[in-house]
Amino acid sequence: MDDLVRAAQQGDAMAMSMLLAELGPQVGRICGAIALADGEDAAQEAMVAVFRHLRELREPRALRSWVRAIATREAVRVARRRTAAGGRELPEDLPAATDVETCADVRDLLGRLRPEQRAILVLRDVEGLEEQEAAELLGVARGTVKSRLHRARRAFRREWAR
Amino acid sequence: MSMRTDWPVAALDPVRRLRVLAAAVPGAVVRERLMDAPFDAVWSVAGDLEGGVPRFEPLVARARILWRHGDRLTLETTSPMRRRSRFDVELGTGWCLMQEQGRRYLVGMAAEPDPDDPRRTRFAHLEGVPRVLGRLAVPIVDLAVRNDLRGIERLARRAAARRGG
Repeated sequence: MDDLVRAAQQGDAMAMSMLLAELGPQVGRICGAIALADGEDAAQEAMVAVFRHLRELREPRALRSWVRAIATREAVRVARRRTAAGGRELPEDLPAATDVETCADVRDLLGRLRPEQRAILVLRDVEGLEEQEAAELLGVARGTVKSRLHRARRAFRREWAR
Repeated sequence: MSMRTDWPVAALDPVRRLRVLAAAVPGAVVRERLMDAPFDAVWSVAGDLEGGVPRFEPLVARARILWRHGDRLTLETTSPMRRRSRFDVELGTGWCLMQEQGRRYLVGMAAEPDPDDPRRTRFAHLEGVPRVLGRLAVPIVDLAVRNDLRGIERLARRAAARRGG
């Protein structure tokens, strides 16, 4: 993987293509769950940002965490853009338990959350980050991550149990 | 906590992948065209490196596959002026990336059925000179890319007509 990154950094398009394929699943998971219907747009914009700035990555072994941060930021930005462009108003808090119980699937449930809340869920439960790591990546206090996560997980647990 | 398996996942289709490469490679030009021919007919032309490419690419008089392993191959092209070039190629259904050895020239093609009408095909074509002064060639490369797109569509429509008849 390190050799692939270095070759791509030197402008080898074949290496870039292989790296695109390698990173696709990770970027797709993050962008799909945060940006939902705009997931493909977010994934494309995240990949463009990754490859435009690839030369700035000094340590190839840090690639995955570097890409995670870029994908999360781009996905939240794209999802916010839709909200700002006239998407439906999202609640400040997570949905009530009764709402969650009638929720058809994960996509439906995620759609009731703000992009930032979806990002916390994805970073913790899909990417496996610690609370402190997720807080640093998102630029929020650890307590904020903790409280939002607790409520989101409670909602999800009900859904999972169905 | 157990993980559900149905989290939404976004996939980058071939056309989007080519857009990413175009943004990453200085001097690359990418153009897209909604072709009035089904995917199979389009890819029977674009994906046929030996038989199809010399029919729509004026700078390639002949193309020959020298080596192949899975989706990787080495292609040798001969120009009308008999200049030979070798390309490292990644070839799949709806995806072709060709980089000239020495990285003097880059070519990419990506296709997928139009989701709104399977009788049509979304096609993206990239070409570029990924060198320091590659950006100077962009206007010329852009003309070549547009010309190729028209040629591929023309040949694909003929192929589709033959199959239909």
